[in-house]
Amino acid sequence: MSVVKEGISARETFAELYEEYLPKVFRYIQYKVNNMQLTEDLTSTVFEKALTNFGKFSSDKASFSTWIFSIARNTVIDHYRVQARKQTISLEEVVDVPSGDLSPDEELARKEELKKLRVNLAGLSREEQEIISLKFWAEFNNRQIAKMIGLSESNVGTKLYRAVRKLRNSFLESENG
Amino acid sequence: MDKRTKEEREFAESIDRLLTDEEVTASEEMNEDYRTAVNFARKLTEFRANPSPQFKDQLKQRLLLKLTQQEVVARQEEEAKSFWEFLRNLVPQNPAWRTAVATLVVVLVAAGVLWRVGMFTQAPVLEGLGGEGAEVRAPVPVPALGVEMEAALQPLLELEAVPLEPTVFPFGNTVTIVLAFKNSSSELITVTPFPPAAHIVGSRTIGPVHSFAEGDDSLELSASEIVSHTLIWDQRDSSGEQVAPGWYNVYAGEVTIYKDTEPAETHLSFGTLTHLLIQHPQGAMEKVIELDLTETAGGLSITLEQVELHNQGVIFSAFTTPPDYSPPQDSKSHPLKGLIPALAEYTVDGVTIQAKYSELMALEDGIRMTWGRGESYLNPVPSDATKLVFRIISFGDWQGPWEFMLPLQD
Repeated sequence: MSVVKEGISARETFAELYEEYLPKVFRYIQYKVNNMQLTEDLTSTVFEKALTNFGKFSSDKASFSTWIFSIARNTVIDHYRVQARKQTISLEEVVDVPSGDLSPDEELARKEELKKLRVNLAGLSREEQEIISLKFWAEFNNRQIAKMIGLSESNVGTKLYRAVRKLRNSFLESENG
Repeated sequence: MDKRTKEEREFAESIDRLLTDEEVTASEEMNEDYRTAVNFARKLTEFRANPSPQFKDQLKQRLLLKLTQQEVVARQEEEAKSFWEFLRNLVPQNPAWRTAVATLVVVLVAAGVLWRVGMFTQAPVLEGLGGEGAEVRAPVPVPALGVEMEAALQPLLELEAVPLEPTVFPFGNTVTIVLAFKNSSSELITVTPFPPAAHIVGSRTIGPVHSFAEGDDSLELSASEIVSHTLIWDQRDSSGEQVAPGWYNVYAGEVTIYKDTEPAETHLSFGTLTHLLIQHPQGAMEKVIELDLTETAGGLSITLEQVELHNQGVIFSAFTTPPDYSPPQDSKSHPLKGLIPALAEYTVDGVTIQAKYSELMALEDGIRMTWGRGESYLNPVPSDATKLVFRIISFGDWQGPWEFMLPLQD
């Protein structure tokens, strides 16, 4: 079965999926590389690859979300393998965070918090980091995460709960320490 | 359902609601640990950043253009197929008629060729000549696009560099790069600045070795028009020194595109335009060295199996069987899942070059690592080099180094 719905052109379908998934893919990659320019480059690569292979995509085999995130994950891995820029994970290069109506002082405090968060995230296992990034940045539900990383849904729930509490504890410790 | 399972389920549901900006309050039976976990999850959701509207629009524009191009290519292929089927039907079965039709086709093709080279018509006038900063303008026929596709095409500037493919330049020779700017839209656009800045960056170094400053002018491009701009580089860096042999990437700076219709102003940046190799003055060493050198560090043995030296680079291949390795069976238990590739460097007669991260391939009995394949472009080794040291610094959670010394001269 093709992903293109009857009566809707490939262009419209792709545009709809783009609107829905661009922010998710963007945030997921931003979390992985922590560099705004690189995030934009890799996000572009993901959607260009998706477009090139869009005709081959079959929703019988996988959902679009699983498919596009497998492209996103592989693109990030390829980036580290091929480009392998050492500076890609830089705690100094904290990207823009939504500041809303924050004052400059509040914004600075927010950036410091984000920096701390990144340090503490790095202390989690790779699996825990992946679950947190797929949950909070890519906004998947536990069932979708389970399919992506090959765990049961209840197992994802257990690991997510544990990972968030672990992260909370280390974050609070670093704030108090 | 036990208490813990209930907590986990409610926690997951709470996060899903937080992600859709719903208000979440923990039920009264939940303890303090749970409540603070939900509050922390709320904090995590506040750190989500969104792509800028400008980036979102530009990428969408580019993807729609690409989709249109794919559709055009598909349609052309379909039309070409129909055309040849039409021709096949035209050719008569009788041998005498076949000869006559073939002769007529040859005459028509020859007339077409003569017309294209300008014997029947005047050739298009080129404005400007080659050379540094020279601009060449050539009229380009507007492709016949359908109304639907015409509407879908958003104003966009395409930039390509010639040579497009990775190219080897002799040491010290002048490098000529032609940048071709194409207005892909169906209306007049103005590109500022023109020419844009351009940078040559070593593939294994940080920062440009040479930059071409942006111009003070603007460039008007009519629909589908192409204008070329030539960059000439004498292989010298910003302080006038000859750059070292090796791979270099060419980048162009950002431009702003103005036009009459909305959006009236678009900012556009470009990725790597092309790759250049400045060859060693003495040439590159070319040979394949088969090896069976094994080193052990941190409980892991790695065998360097092959080093391929060729005029465009060097490729290292190594192999390892990690403890408890099991061959790939399915995606769930793939041995490469979550594995950080091996980080390496190599030293040629005392000069160290980063090989960076390997590619990995899972085999029945272990993992093959390679550096320098594809577009990773490791610099070639000079033909008179005497000693090569290949050093793997880390692989996965193992720390090296695993160091392999190779004499290069027989």
